[in-house]
Amino acid sequence: MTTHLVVPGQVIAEGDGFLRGHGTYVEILENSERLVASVAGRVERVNKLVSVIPVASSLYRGHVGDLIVGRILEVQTNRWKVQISDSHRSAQLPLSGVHLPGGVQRVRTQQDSREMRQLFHEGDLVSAEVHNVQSDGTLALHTRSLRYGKLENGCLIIVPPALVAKRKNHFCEIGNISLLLGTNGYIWIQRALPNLEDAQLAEHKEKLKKEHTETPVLPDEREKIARIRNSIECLAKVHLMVTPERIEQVFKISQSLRTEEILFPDNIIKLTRSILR
Amino acid sequence: RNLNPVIIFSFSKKDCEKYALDLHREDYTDDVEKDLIAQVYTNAIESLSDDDRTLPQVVALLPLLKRGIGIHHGGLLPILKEIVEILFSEGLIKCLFATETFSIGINMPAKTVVFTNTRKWDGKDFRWVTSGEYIQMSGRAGRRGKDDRGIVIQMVDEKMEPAVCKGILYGDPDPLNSSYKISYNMLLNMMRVEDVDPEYLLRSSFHQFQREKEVPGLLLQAKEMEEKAAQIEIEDAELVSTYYQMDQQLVVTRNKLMAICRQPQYILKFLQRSGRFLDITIDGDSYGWGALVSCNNTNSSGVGGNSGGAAGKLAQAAKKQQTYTLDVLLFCVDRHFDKKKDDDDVQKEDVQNQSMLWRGSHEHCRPVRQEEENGGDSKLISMRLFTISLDCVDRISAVVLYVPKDVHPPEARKNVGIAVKEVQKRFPDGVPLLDPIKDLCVKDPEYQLLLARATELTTRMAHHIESHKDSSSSVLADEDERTKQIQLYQRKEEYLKGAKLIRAEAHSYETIVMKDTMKQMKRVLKKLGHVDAHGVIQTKGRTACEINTADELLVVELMFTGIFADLTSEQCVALLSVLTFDERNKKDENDDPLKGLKGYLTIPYIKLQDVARSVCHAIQACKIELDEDEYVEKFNPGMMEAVFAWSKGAKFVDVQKLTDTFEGSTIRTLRRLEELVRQIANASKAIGNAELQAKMEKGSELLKRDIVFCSSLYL
Repeated sequence: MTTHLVVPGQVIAEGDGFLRGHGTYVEILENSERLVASVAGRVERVNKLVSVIPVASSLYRGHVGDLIVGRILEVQTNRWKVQISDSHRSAQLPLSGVHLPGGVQRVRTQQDSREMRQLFHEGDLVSAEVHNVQSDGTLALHTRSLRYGKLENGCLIIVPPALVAKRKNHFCEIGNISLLLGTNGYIWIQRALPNLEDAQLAEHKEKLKKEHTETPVLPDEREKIARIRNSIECLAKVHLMVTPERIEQVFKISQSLRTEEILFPDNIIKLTRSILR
Repeated sequence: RNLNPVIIFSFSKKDCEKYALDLHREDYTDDVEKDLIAQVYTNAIESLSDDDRTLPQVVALLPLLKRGIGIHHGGLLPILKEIVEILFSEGLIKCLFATETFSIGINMPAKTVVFTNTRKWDGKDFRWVTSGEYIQMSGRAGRRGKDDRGIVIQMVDEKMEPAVCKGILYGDPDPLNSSYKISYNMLLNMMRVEDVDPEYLLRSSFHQFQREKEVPGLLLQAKEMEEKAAQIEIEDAELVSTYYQMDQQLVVTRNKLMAICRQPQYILKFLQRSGRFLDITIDGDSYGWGALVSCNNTNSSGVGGNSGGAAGKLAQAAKKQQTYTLDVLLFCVDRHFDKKKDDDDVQKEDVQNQSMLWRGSHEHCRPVRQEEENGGDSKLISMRLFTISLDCVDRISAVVLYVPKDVHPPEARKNVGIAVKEVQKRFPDGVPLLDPIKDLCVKDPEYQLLLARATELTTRMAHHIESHKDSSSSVLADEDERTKQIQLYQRKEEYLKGAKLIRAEAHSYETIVMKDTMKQMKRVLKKLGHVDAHGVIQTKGRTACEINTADELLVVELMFTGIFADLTSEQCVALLSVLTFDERNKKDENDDPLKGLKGYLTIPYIKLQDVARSVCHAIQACKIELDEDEYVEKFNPGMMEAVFAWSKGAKFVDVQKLTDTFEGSTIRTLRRLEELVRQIANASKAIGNAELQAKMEKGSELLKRDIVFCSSLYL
């Protein structure tokens, strides 16, 4: 399947019979119309709708249901401001959208408002899901599932959002290391959690999570985490889509090198050559 | 006797208005009350514009209200409904003519409740009122704290069986059966979020719970049947079973033969003469020989019209063929006599009266049994006229009787009955039949094949008996013994088969309700491009999540095929009205719905029909059962012209003239339409098409006007 790449100003289609989507505009000439791209990216056609999905930008637009990883910037009354990308527009995580400790379901009281900092404070990393997109584009998040919440004892790497495609499952495992591919380009790597599905009660799950946080990470686990982090950066440097299969592939091939050598330019090309083919 | 305030329930809106107008000479209020009513009324309609205050419904209602008479049904303007409700709860309306909707919800008890009818039309039958509906409506009678008791008056226009009446009056309320089902919108919203399991949702639904509750009962039934089967012992089971299989096959072959003979092209010319001798079986019950009275051709297909181009032609081709019904006189016994015989006097009277009834149906009557024919119960046998389809004819005879033109009087029918008996007596070996090849001229090659098979089976069966006659203790030797054993075997087989069916049903109840449907729906979504092959939601799917007022699949297809690109806002809005207009005009079924519509409205409508057909094909391709014509005909263009006029700024009076529906329905359609337009505007914003968004937002503004969107009096 060939991808139709365009640059801003390039004509995509002529005449009428198309609907204009994101990333395009219509240029009206003397006796005909032309559809022109306004961003650099891939052309997507759905029936008559033609739009251009930008590939180079670091702008993350956000759709309902996306899984993202973000950093808490501010603690405000009844909500947190979360940084999800380099742009200065941050997402909001309301107090009503987080999971209270113990799994208890109740209306948030004033007490909860005052104790917000105990749940998340500035600088914490959280994984959340987009609840809805407001009319001005701001994202409203929620962590109302035990799969989401504070991320600790691991490593974060940031890649351009366009390289992380929306998939069915954003949690993946390579060996005993688990990855969380945030759709906004923030990727979290940590030691694999024990299987949370076996634990039925919320308290039990939280206990397991706490144990995981408090146990220090062993040296060989650290090495593995670092290696995976560098593999991901390799893929990002040559602008390939970051998928668990590719990460695993690069990870395997890189076993012959030392971890820090992975990021030398020659090695990057060597490692990703097999994927590019 | 001071029975007011009274509510009079009718089952149709037209009846309500008719009865109210019949009372136009009555006056139930005094002057003080008249003033109060007038005051409430004028306050309420102040929120309407001047034009709307002169709407016929608004103007006509006030004099009725002033005299203490009110009307309430779904066709009224919402604001008028609210006025009536307020006045009734204040006690200013003494007599209210309402439809069923008044019985649900709002707190409006009265002292007396009157039912004008005991049968209602529920879309399929003209059936008796169910006990649940009766409880609901009669529960309105008697105000707590004001009345000692409530009074319910039931008008009965026709003869009703006492058992039926008891069922209505003493019956249980309607059972609460969950009809939980998943829509495409719901499914897409679930697939949007990671790791959400639609199966989990279905497994925990109430519908599933109810089904699982029934399983133990079913298994018990199955077990009982299997025990009964085990109790029946058959000697020489193997021989009997082989004989039985062959016998069954013979029956099947004979049925197929008869089915070919029954086709109209062969049989019709022999059914033109009244008096033809026929052997009839209805629903598996054999009625024996009877006499034909007349043969009628019922043309069930509509005339279709000369319009709609491709759409119309396709519809015509798919219409059903002509069907025929026969009127036959048959011996039968009224099922009424099968029920418990309490009173001897009642019984005798019934027996005398029942000969007056000349019409019979399989519901109310059953065939005559052997014992009754010869025994003392022969009084119960009567000859009645049944209306049946061609499929009920088992055999046609060459004999033709004389049947009088009018078969209503009991003597005429009795004479025919005597003649039928006479014929059977004269041909003790069997009445002569019409030969399929020589008389009916059946030329179907399949017929020959089946005939050959039938003869082969008969010879094999005879051979089977012969070969086993020699073995000493064989059961098959003696004919009576043989028939007895075969009957026992048949009964055993039936029990086993019944048990198997029940077990299969129980098993299906245990699997998740709608599991298969959900798989098929996912396939449909993949096929239409809402999700990709891995189940990740795409642009189309995200758009469909925004639409929930109307058929989301169709709306998304319309948006993405650019139908709206060439249309103005008004045309778009008129086109979308077919998706929100639900009512069907019963009288216009044979008329062409597109008649009278201008070109700028018919062309988009035909395009919509084409898109609907493509959606339907995609659904059918994923093995979901969907009738194409039914699906396309759901989208009714009856309101297109009216909505177009409304969006152009016409007054409500003029808009109402362009459509046949009640005012209330027009308003409901317009409100729902506005919601749909708003949802489409949001969706087009998500896909980035600003033109469509602007068009839809303009459409929404054009619709939101005057009386259609005036606020409720309660708020």
